[in-house]
Amino acid sequence: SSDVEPQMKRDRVRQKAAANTEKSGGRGRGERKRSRGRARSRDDRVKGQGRGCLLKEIHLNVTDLDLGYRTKEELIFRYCSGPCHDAETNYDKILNNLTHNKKLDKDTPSRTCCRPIAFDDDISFLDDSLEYHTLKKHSAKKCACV
Amino acid sequence: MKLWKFAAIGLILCGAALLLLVLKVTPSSRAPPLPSSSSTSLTVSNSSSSIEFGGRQRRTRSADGENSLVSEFMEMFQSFTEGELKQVIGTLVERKAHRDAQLSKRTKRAKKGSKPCSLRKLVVTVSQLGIAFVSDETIAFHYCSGECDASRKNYDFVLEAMKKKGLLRKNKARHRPCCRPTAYEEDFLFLDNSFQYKTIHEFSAKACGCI
Repeated sequence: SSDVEPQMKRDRVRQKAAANTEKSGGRGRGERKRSRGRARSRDDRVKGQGRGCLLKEIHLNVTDLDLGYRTKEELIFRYCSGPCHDAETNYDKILNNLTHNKKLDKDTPSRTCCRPIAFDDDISFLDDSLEYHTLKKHSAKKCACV
Repeated sequence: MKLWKFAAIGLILCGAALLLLVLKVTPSSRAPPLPSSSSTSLTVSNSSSSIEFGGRQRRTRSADGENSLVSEFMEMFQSFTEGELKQVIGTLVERKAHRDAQLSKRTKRAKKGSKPCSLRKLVVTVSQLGIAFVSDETIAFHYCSGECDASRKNYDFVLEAMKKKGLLRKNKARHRPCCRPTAYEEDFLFLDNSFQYKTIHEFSAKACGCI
């Protein structure tokens, strides 16, 4: 329980930052709706249900990445996971209806996705042959239902 | 006059036969007509009487000679024609089958190489959108569809590896970019069937991207 609290605090801070970023971005209504969705997920998290599109992390060895590197270095991999039911727009509802009624010829448009909208900074590490490698866009920084 | 006619016909048939012989190489087609013509002549000779036999003999001689020639060529012609027809039909059928196969291959290729993520259009009525509005007005609904494999990043490869190794609690995280709208068209104003104005927000895509 003591471990959970700091994580929640961090997540709150992240989400606030994300919300601020979105507002400053000023894309439009879609963003507002998304922020609302996040607010809900925040509340859900406070309750401890952990629903919605969320940023999760896992501690890995670089060799676990299967990118072909040989090194003993480790890293924290962050990824996006969770449902996006609350983030459906009119577009998504219409798309579901048209798909259900088979109005789209063989097209299978993708539904709302929990995906990273920002990535962690590049990471550099030293491999076993004493060469430096840099990874780009390897880990998520922010998640959203897009 | 009759002789001339028969001679002309005979010559024409001979020419045709020669052409066919030159074109065709199969010798087996020659054999069938000969025995049938000989059997025909035997039948004719048996059926006639003694007195009439004499009179008919004269007629039948000339007639038999001419008829036998004519019948021979006719039968040869027919047999060749049938053979040719069969071969031609067979060839056509084979060609058609081949074309169909090619078509199916093309179709498969087209399907395999599906289009990348792009904006697509569908014209429907407002009622068909299925969002509780009843109106016969037509609307152009734009949506995003297509492949995003070319837009995969390190994040996607790493995530896929993690999922395969079972290192994640839930394997539901998506490890491929999504073809989704990056912008929506402006609100759509329409008249419903009860003559009231309605507006739809964020109903149609304006631009697509792999996210």
